[in-house]
Amino acid sequence: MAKISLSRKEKSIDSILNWYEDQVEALRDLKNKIVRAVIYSNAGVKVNPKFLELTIGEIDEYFENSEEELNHLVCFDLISATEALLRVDYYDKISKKDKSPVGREFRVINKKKRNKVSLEDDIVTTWKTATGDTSFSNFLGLLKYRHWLAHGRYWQPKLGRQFSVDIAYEISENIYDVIAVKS
Amino acid sequence: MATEAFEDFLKKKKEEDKKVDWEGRRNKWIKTVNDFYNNIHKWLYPFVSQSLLQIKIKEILVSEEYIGSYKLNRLDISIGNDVISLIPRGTLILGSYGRIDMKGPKGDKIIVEQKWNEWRFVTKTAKRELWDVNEESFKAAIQDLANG
Repeated sequence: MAKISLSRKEKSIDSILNWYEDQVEALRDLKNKIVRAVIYSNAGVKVNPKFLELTIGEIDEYFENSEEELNHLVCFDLISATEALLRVDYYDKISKKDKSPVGREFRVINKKKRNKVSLEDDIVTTWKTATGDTSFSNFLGLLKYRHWLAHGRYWQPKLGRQFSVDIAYEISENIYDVIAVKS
Repeated sequence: MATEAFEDFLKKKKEEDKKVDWEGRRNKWIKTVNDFYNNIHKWLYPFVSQSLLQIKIKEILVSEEYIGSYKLNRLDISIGNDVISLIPRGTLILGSYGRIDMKGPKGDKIIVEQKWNEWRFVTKTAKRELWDVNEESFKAAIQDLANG
């Protein structure tokens, strides 16, 4: 078996979603505080000087961009947590000599590739073939999106669809459910 | 009960809105912008009369949340082939009573109305600096923003 020492520090997608909701609320509270300071000409309110001289339209735009950025980063986190789930499950199945079709296929891959197993070509594709579940095809789409985020977004991505936190969470949750049933 | 709660909510929002005299704010802003433009005309008049520069006034529509849309003038100061524009952005600005953007071929400057009828240039750099808009600083700003 490929030698890897697992940290067991994976994040759950629910904790990521929970954190995301806190950040959205905090961003919206901050925006409301600033907008109210504009409306009521409230000089007593302490705000970051970078917001001085901005119109309400510019403040709106600033916070729309902040939420968009937060969405990208949270999607990244959700996809990474799901990768961890898939990889840990892969190593567990190999070490426990899992007898399911997926487990058998993983052992074949492990013999061939050792520690060079590919998430997309080996792990996700094995699950996709074995279960026929569309969540795995969707997850491959998400991985293209994560690749774009992880490498600095310098090219125009051809993702075929717009990803959001809700979509990334739904795809990840489906994968968690499939793996829980099949394990 | 739900209807009463909703009605209370609407009444509270209406009260909040009443606290701000949007119409008065808008009218005062329009007046002070026009007063400011009059000063600019005075400062530049000797050069206009020598045909060294031209000032054109264009009416624009400014739209602001809460206040709505209203007409205000922008000034285009033509010097040779360059145009320096003063474009009012609105009165609902954080930290001041209004903002006018001054744009030219070599960049932008921000003018804010920190107190009514007190106009100041402000830098958007990390170290925020403010200085009064007067005849001398305004002419210097024109020179900064024009080519050559």
